[in-house]
Amino acid sequence: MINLSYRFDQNSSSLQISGMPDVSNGDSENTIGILSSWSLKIIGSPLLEGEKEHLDNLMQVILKYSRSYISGIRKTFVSNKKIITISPFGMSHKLLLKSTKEGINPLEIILDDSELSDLTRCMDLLRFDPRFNIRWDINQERPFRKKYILNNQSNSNKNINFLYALIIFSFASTLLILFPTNDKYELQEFTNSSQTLSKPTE
Amino acid sequence: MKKSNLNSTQVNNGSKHLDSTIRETYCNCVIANDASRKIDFLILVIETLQINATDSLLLKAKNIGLSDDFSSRVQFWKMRCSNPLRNTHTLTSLTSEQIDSLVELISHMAENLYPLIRQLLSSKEPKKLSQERWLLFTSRLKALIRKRMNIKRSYIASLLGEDNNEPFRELLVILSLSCGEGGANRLKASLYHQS
Repeated sequence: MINLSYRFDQNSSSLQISGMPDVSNGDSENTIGILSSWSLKIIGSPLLEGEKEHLDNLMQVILKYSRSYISGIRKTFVSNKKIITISPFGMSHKLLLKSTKEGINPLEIILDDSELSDLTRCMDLLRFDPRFNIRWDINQERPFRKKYILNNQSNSNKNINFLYALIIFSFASTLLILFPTNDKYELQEFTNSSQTLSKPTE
Repeated sequence: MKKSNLNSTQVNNGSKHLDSTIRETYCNCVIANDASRKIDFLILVIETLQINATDSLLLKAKNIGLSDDFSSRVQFWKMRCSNPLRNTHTLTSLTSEQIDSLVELISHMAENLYPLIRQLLSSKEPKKLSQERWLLFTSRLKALIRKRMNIKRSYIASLLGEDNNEPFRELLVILSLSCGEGGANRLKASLYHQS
């Protein structure tokens, strides 16, 4: 049986995939049709290993997160099997990996923007590589609805605008309250004129 | 939203299937209002990162076999003038074919410039060196914005006035996530809305 191994290197990330051709599916001798193992090395983090299902879950969250991030949306994504979570962490991104084995604590990896793009590029290279004939459980990038983008983008600008509007309104209101009205003056003028008008009748 | 995102799974068994899936994806979609602005600013960032980038862009367009819109500087400039924030803004909008071509071009250029983009985005670089790089990058980008954009527009004024590099960082992040085939799909999806 031919054992094949391909590696995708992107600066801080290195993804290695091992497997063999699926002869029953008509794969050539250079094509991986059955994935036997994978390992991911992110600089500064422990080596990640697992089965196809784990890689599917990792790809799901990373690709969804990157898709949202490119549209200016930063929100948490959890994989289908709930073993991998990615969420914003200040300026960085937090990848939380739960082991399927019992008694192993979840692993937390903090990625900056450059590391996130390295990892995304590794995933992209893998899913578009013609040397693989594997059905990945991931979704095609789709445009979002306008409402979805508006609801999920950071509300800081909206809040600042609202605050400005409130300050301007209260300032203008205070100014108008303090400004003296000339009701009395108009009343006096009116009474004078009424007197002058009444004089000729006498 | 979630429903619409969970319709298709991806199979790595040839480009024909992918092409048809992509075509289906954009069936009920419209070009986003800020698409031309976003594209023009991304090209502006590419121009900041690479001297004589326009020549490289046109050469790259020729190499990857893009349409006649990229045959001359004037045609290319006319497309970029669809950005309403430009000094020389024309009341035209980009067609979906033009967006496809520009996305492909930006994606290829981002791939070439990826080491530079990565250096700027990395938090692991020495702080002083990173600050110097950002100073050089922002000063060049601001000079280009001052030259090309309508500085009376509030958005441009805020970009030039603020010391906050966040909007420029966002543009670099978009470029870094636009590299390669997957990146081009991602960028294209961000330029459309579901109707």
